[in-house]
Amino acid sequence: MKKGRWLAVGLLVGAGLAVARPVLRAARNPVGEIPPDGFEALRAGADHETSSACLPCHPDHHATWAASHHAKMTRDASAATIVAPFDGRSVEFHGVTTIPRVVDGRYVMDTLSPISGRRETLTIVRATGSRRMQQYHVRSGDRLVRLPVAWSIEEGRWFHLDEAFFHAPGGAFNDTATTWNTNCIFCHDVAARPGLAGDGSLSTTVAELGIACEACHGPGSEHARRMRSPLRRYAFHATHGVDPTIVNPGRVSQERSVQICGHCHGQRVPTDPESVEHILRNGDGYVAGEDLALTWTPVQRDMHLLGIDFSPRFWRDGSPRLTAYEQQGLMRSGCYQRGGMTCLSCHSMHASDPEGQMRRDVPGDATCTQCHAELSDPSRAAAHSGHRFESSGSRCVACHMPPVVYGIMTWHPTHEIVAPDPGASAAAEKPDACTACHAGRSRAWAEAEADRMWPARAKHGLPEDARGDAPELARALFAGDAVYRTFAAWRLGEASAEPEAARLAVPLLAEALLDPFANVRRTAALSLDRLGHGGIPRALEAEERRVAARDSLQASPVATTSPGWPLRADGMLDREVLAAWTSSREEVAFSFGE
Amino acid sequence: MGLAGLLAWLVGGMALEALHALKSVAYLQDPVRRLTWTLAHAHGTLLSIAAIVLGAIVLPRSGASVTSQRRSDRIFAAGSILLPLGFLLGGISHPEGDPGPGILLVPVGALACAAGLAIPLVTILRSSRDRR
Repeated sequence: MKKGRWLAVGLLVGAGLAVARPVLRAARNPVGEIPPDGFEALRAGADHETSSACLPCHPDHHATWAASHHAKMTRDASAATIVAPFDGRSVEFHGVTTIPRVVDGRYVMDTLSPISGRRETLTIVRATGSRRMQQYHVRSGDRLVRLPVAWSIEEGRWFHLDEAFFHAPGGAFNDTATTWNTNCIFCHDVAARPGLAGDGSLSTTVAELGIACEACHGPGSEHARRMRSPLRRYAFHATHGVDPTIVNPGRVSQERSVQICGHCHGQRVPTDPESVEHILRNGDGYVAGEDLALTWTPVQRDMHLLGIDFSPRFWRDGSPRLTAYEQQGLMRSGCYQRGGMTCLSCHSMHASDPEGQMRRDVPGDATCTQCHAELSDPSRAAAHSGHRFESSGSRCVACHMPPVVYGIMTWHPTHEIVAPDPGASAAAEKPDACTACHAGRSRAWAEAEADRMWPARAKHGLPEDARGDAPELARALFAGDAVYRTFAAWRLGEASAEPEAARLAVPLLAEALLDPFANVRRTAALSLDRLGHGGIPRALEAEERRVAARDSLQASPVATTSPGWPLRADGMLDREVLAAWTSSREEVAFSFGE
Repeated sequence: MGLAGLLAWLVGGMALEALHALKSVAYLQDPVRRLTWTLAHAHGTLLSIAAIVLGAIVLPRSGASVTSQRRSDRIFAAGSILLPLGFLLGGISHPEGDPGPGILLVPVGALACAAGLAIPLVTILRSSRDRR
C-alpha cells in the first residue's frame, strides 16, 4: 500500500509538472513566438472562417452584429429575409407593370426583364438592404442582376430606383438595373472576388454574404486556430493581451482604423489605374488593418476614372454630398486632422443602436464633449451655439454636421465637421446649417446672424449674388442642381424653426412635383405629405395627375409679410421669379448605385 | 456530507428557478452564466446523491479497510464540492465566451471524484480476483 501511495503521489506530481509547463509558458507569453514573416503576414495569409466561427468565443459581439443592418445587407431570398409584400398587387413605373408575387414558395416578379428585354417571370434569389430600402436580384447565368423596382421600407411602398438616384430624366425602365457581381458585391459582402474572366464570364465568390466580422477584423482562421487552446485563451483573459493574428479596429493607428471603415464608407478608385481588371478578376485583396492606400485612393471631386466624372458627387467646395463618402468628409475635418478622431470616436459596431450605430456610452452631444469638455456645461454650450440649450439648434451636429449628404432616399449628417459659414456655403452653392433649419431665411440673414452670434469667427464672406432676401431653400428648390433641389424639397417639409415657412412652402413644393428629376418630385411629394397634404401623386405617376395636384395646391392665394418669397401681392406664385431661378440653375445628372 | 450537499444544491436549484421566475436579465441573457450555473446545480445534486450512495451502500460492501473507506469517502466528497463549485464560480464573473477562472476547480473536482471511486473499485476488483 505504501508503494502504491508513493506511485500515486509520483503520478500526481508528474501530471502537475506536465500541466504546469505549458500553463506557465502561456501565462508568460500568450502571444507566442513571432513567426518568421511577422504577424501581419500571418494575418494577411489567413483564410476566412465566417461569422459562425466567431460565435462560440464572442457570443455578445456576434449578437450585436447579427442585430445590425451590416449583418443583413445581403441575404438569400427567403420568407425570413424578404420584407416587401409579394402579394400579387401590380405596380407601374415608366409604363411597365410589375407584379411581385409568391409562386411555390419562390419570390418572383412578372416584369420587363433587364436580361432578355421581354416580359418574364423572374425569380428573386437575393435581397440587399434591411433598413431603408430593399433591392432584389435575379439570376442570369453566372451573374445576378439587380432589378430597378425596389421596396421602400420607410415609405412602405414599391418604388423605381429612378426615384432614389439622380439619373438624367427620360431614362428607360431598366436603366438602373445593374450587375451585382461587379458592383454591389465589394462593399456588401466579405472578401468579394468577382472572378471576371477575359471572355466576360464570372465565377464569383465571397467569404460571406453581408458585412460580417471579417470585413472589419480581417480573415480569422489563424486567430480561431490559436484560440482553440484554452491555455492561450485564458492567458489572454488574464493579461488582457491582444492577439496579433486578428485586427481590432479600435487598436490600430488612427489612419488604419479609419481606412477599415473607409474601405466601404469612402468611395475610392484604384491607386493603380491598371489594376481595375485585376480587381474585377480577383477582388481587391484588402485585409482590414493593412494600408488601404496601397490598393485604393479615396475619390475626390477632381478625379476621373474610366470616363466617370466624380465632381457631381461633391459640393463645389469638395465636401461629399453622397453617403459612402464619410471617410473623405472626416479627413477634411479638424477633428481628424488635429484631434485624432476616428469613426469609433462616435460609432460602435457592438455597443450601439443598430440605427446609425452611435455609441451608447456617449449619447448625443457627449460624442463631442469627449474632447470639447467645456461645452458639457449647458450655459457655455448655449453661449457657444447662440441657441437655447434645450433647442435642437444647440445640438452639436445641428451646426457642425448639418444633414447635407444624400443617400438611400434620405439625408444624413455630413462627416465634414466644420464651423457653419453661410458665406462659404453660398460660394460653394451648398446648403448651410443656418438656412437648412431656418427654412424661411436667406443667406444674407444667416450671414448677419452668424456675425452677430460669433463676431470673431473666421469667415469667407457672402458672395454678391447671395445678398438678396430670398429664402435660401425656396431659391434652391428652383435654382439648385438636382441634388440641392432634392435637399431643398426635403427641408421645406421638415418642421421648421420658422413656422410660416411650412405654409409658404406648399405652392413651391407643388411646383416641384413637375421637376424633371424623379427624386426631386418624390421628395416634394413626401414633404407635402408631411405638411398635411395627403393623396399627392408620386414621382413616376402620370404627369396629368401631378399637374392636377399642383394646380389644386396653388389655387388659393398665400398671404405673407415675410420678405423674399416668390409670391405676388395677390398671394399667387410669382412665376417670373421662378423662371429666373430655374434659368440660373446649372444642372447635373449622374449615376450612382447606392 | 452528501445530505448537506444535496440540501445545498436543492436550495441552489430553487434559487435558479427564482431567477427564471423573476426573469433575471443577468442570468437569462448571459448564456455562459446560465450554462455553468445549470451545470453546477445538476452536478452538485447528482454528486451529492452519489456521495450518499457511496458512503451508505458501496463502501461498506466493498471490502475495503475502514481507513480506505474513510479516505475514499473524503476524497469523493471533496470532488463533489469542488466540481459544482467550479461551475458556480465560473459563471459569476467571466470573460466573453468563456467561464471565469473558477472553472479550473472543475477538472480538479472531477479527478477527486474519480480518485474517490477508484479506491473501492480497486478493492472490489482485487477481492473479486482473489475469490476466483
